[in-house]
Amino acid sequence: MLKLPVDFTFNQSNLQDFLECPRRFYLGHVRRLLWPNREMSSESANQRRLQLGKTFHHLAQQKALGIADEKIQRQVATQSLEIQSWWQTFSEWWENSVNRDLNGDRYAETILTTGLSGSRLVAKYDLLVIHPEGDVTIFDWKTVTHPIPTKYLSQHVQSRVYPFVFSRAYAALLSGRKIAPEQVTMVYWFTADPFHPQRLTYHSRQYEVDEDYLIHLLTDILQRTDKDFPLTTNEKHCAHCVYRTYCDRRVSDKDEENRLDENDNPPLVFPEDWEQVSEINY
Amino acid sequence: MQNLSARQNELIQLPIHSIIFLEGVAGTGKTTAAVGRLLTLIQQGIPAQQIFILVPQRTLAQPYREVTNDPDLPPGGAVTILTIGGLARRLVELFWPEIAESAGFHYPEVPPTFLTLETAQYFMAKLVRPLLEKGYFASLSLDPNRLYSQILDNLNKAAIIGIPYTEIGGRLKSAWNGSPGQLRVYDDVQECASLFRQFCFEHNLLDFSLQIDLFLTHLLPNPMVKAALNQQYRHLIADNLEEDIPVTHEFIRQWLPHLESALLIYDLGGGYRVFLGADPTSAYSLKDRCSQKIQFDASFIHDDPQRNLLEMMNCSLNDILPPSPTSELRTRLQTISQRFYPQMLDLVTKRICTLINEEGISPQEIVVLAPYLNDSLRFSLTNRLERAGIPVRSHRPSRALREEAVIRTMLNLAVLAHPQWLERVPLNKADLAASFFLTLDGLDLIRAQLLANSVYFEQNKKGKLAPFEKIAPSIQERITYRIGEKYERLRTWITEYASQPAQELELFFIRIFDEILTTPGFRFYQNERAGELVANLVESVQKFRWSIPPSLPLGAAESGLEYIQMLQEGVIAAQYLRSWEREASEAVFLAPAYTFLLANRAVDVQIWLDIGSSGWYERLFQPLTHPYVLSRNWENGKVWTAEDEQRVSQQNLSRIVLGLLRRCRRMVWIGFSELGESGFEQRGLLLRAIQRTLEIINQEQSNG
Repeated sequence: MLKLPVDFTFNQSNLQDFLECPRRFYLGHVRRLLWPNREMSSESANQRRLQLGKTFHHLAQQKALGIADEKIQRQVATQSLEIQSWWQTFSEWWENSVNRDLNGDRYAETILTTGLSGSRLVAKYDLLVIHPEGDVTIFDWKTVTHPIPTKYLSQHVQSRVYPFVFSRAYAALLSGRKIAPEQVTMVYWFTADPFHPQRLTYHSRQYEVDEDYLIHLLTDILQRTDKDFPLTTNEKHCAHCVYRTYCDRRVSDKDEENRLDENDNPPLVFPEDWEQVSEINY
Repeated sequence: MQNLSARQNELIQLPIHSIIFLEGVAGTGKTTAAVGRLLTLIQQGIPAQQIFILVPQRTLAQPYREVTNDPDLPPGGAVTILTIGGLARRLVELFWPEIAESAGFHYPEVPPTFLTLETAQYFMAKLVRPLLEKGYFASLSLDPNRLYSQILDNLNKAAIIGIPYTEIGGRLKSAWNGSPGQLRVYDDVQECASLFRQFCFEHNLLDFSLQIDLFLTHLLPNPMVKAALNQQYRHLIADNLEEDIPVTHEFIRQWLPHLESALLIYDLGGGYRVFLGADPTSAYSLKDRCSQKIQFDASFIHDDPQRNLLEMMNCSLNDILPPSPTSELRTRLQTISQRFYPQMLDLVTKRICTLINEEGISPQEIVVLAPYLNDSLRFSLTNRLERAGIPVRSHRPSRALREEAVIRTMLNLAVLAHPQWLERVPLNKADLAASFFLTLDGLDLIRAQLLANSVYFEQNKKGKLAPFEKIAPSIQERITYRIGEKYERLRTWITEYASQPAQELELFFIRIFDEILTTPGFRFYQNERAGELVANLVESVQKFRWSIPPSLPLGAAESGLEYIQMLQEGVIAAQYLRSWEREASEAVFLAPAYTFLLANRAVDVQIWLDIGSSGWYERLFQPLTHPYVLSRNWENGKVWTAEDEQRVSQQNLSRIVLGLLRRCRRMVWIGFSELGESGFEQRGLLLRAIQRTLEIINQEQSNG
């Protein structure tokens, strides 16, 4: 039986790590091994993207809190052109959506959690909107370079974890009011395609399927021993892995270039590790 | 929850809408009851995200963190657990556009840069160094890094008691009654503190003091912030209030009327963090604001003899007539006595072995405590215990990176790759040899020295390494061609790197680690310890670079050199949390006494060392600051006298000794050597108090 750190909780990010490479999950979340890697450098494309994403999420949270647009706009004007452009389209989309998707009580950067398979599963939501008629929209801001087609999104573990956790833990926000999974919609909003957010509707059957899936997944992880976390056989997952030199899965610069050209196969990895929930921030 | 007392259950079951002040000495089950109350709130349907838990330092949050991670808790939101510093930072980040302009920052539209203690010290050094050259602080003989940190400490103290930073110098001066030369020093302190604060406003830099200042003067009065806090949180649990700062107490005082429930917990006899600004008096004043006042008296830790020991020590410390010792007391306070320190440590080790192997006490139920845990004591005792097969962990909160050989190696390689730095950061052959030894697998120290002597010539200051082929064939043979090949790979990589425009220092470290040092044939290959240290170094470099505001641009090479110089001079200690954090807890624990007190746990056996040291009660020598004068409890204008000093020393000693005894279930062993660690005869207030107690116990025993 696996011994996890006392403050460990499951979330979409560490589950995705396990699905891509059990070894990465083990090294990163069980052993918490620190290992220098290129992704740490602020000159790496991913790190830069991560910083941009953080800034964008921060601004979106300020907007949801009700800080005046002109004050946020003054901050945006000092940021990179990329942020300025994202913010402009985001603001336009927000204006257009105020009376529709954004109509209702809004909860920014909200954490919900549920017990599952003897552990806790946690989801951190960019924005939750509880509409007046009782329906709920989960928004997730994505700052990846290309929008991801629905068929890929629906397979991603985040698309299972977020509506599932919400369907279990919603009472925390709704003061005991009941909602059915059918009333939950998950919306991925892409800076790369702001006016065509991807919508995933949820339903009771999917909730049951997700529950089975997540119970199996968590049980599988928890029942393993330290030796049962093999390296992935799909070496593409190693390209951005922090442990690639530790595991001797070195990627040459040429491999890296080739990989970046593969636009026909959008990555399912969201390099947005701020979504990893830190339960206690000091 | 199991095994709760009737008093604890009574507290837990109080109506939800209660404002409670809970007090009691350590070991009476206050935190356990508070955790029970938290669970009850959640189980009764209070949304977890409406509950705010406030603690003075993160270690004290552990019981709450564990319970909120319990898989059996109902689904819902997440409890917020923060320190006041964490809350201030979070609010400043979020509401920066609301407050930056009115607070007076020069670039309100640009996000602020949060400074760590180290990066604050870096900027303080930048500002104060030129003044030192002009003769500021000339009368003092003090390490510059301590000087910078004490000026920062003054700013922090002013912020946490809520006085303007411009009053620091005046307050210190008005309490001074020594030589007039010191008054000039306090003027210099004030000037430097003001200069630093002004610099922070000019460049959007936020050290701890300014975050706290903003929290108190701009965030709390802001209607939007108030509304956000009041909407989000309806229930407060604040633990160890006596260890928290006056700003926290002020915040709670203002917030209480808006909350549906509150549980404020006060540890009678606590207040160990006075040096850091903790104010038990201010904490206790919150009691009047609470409608329910509860005191826990019964200790879960002490039996009668242990209680008797505590009373005896209290009397010895405060010159009060002691009660009669119980017959068992002799076994509760015992000495391990030797003439010399190392012999005493041998006996302490032997005693720990007996306790574990013969008396069946679990290793984690034993702590070894001293006022300070220096490297020598830590090494000596750890080494002895490990040799005896006893699991041991030591606690020093952090360790400076530059003390690690792996890090020195990385710094040396960085200098080689940036030869223009050699003028300011010299590299000698011995350091280079150590670096070769630590990186080239299969190389011994003698051949490492030989290699360094053969390829590096300090005097030319060009930093170039000679190719292996240029070494005399006889030396090549001694070093071996296998090592030569590895050396060439390293040399070629560095030479190529040096021929390109400089990259950010963190990228240099990552690249050389990634491309050379972790490949087969090099010693960092799958070396987890080296990986951890280099990752810490990279993070430290990044934090340093990110603390440089856009208004003070520095190029890659300049910021890299600046970092290395600061690290070597000790301005930036680049301290990192040691892996003890992840070590198993089933081990004997070596710690400074204050650290143990703040871990909030009791053990069966305590072993006290260095009881002759004045470190148990005297405050640190800090000529630029004063924790008691820069306090809300000090009357401005009053002079600090030798009697005051003696009074607080006595208070500190009582507080620490009684605090330790309240956290001890079965016995205290005193490790005593006639000559202390540095060879001097031992004396001191604690030694005298223990001798008095032992005399009474022995006398009683011989009479009986």
